[in-house]
Amino acid sequence: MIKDITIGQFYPTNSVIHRLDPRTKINATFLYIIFLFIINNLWGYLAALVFLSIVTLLSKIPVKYLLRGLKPLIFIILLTVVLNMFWTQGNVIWQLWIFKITDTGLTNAINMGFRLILLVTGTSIMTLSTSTIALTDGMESLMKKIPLVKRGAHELSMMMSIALRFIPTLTDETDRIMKAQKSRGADFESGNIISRAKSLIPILVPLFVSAFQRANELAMAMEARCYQGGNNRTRMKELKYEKIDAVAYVLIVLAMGALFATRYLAFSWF
Amino acid sequence: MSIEVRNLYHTYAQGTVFSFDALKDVSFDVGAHDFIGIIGHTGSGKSTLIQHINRLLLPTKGTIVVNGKDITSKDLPMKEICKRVGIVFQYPEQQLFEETVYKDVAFGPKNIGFSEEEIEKNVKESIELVGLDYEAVKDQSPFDLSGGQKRRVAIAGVLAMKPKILILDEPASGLDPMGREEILKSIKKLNAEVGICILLVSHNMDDVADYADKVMVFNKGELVMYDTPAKVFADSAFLEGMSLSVPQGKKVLEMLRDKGMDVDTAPYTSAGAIEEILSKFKAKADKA
Repeated sequence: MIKDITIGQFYPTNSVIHRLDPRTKINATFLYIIFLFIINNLWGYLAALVFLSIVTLLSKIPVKYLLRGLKPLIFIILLTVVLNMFWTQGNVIWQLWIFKITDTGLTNAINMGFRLILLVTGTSIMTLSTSTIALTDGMESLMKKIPLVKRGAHELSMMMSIALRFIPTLTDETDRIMKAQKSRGADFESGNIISRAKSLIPILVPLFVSAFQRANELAMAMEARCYQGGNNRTRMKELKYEKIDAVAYVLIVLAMGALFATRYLAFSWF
Repeated sequence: MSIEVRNLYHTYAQGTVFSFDALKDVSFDVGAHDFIGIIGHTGSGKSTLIQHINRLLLPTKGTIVVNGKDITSKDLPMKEICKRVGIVFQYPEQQLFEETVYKDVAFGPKNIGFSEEEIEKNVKESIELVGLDYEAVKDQSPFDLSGGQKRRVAIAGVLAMKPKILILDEPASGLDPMGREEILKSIKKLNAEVGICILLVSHNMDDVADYADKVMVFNKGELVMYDTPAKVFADSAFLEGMSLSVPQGKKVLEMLRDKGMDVDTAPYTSAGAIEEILSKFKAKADKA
């Protein structure tokens, strides 16, 4: 379960997608998310799926690995689909006792399911193809362009990179503490939901204690090396747009245009 | 309680590109009252091995029999294994979580189903066994104790389950020399007086030399040597080839020998080395 979390993980393959400037990838992902909400019929989702497949192929990230990121979200996706399916008004096409499926409900459910899956996999490609350092550098330089968050841009991106950096450390730690408590006879797998929640206390308390300790030590270490955030910090690796970024921008705009065009295609199941 | 391990293999992330053989064809027997030291370079498979002995990890291949029972079998509940085998992990103080020392030490025995009276008795015994004052610490928060005391409480938490086999992974690391000796002495006492079988994983050759009756040497997932400390520490070149070393006392004797002094390099503990050097000086003085 812990090993399934793919958020913030980097899958190095040195593909075209990996070599893009992080800002290009962030902007592209941002556009992609917006257009996922603009498209309104199945043609649109199919077009987005084709786009996503091409990007996945280019990125050389195994599809199986990419889909693993969906595993923890299966429940949320299913719940959305089911709620949409049964609780939307429209022409009833199937009914059993108080449960009825309407035509709009079915269409909504299918669209919603597609939208969520495309959303999660699309953003996963960005995080899988961008190292966390590049990702936060990109974020920082983009945030510097936004008036309101400009001042805290460096601090925010620093916090983000530290948070991402801590994910693998904390999963390792959780694993270690779980093993230690298991060998003291702790049982995490059986019992009802309340006793299971209670059985998490012996893991959570030590985890919090050590997380605070680590944070404290890190702050000390940073201060000892005279870390000061904010303006006027120079960096060793400046972000620079290359030719392939220009190509990527053109392609992404074209792709998004194609997505938008699907709004004018009629699609109907019935 | 004895341990029999036969042809144990363990492969991490089998079937992927990250696949890694942590243990390769490991077989050994440990007697019911043995004190075994386990040494090996980082990544040699020591930690993987000890996690097999109470089924935190299942072998890829091979069998592990503890006291005549195959512990890899799914029919044996984890609680039964916990009653027999206790593991004290590295930095065990990081597993403390309860409000009071008493409650924390009682966590293990409660889990494996001891009665209230038994728990109280066990908690008291094990806190005293690790050298703490029961009345003074039992109502304190474990987080208010000093580092060394926390470590003792954590060890007591494992002892309170009354295991017949106790496995310790670097129990003395990060402690001051005093704390180090006290912890190791109480472990030795457990072995000598209560008869608990001890497996001690350590990077410190002196600790192993001073306390263990037999030593296992691991290298790259294989058990390359399993013998008495005298024999294991006899060949320093062999150990250095695996990024290990011989105890300090032995090192001093070997240096003296290389400088031309006529000493016997057989003693491997610091105490033994001191005795050997003193006896040589005495012999010289007697001659003169």
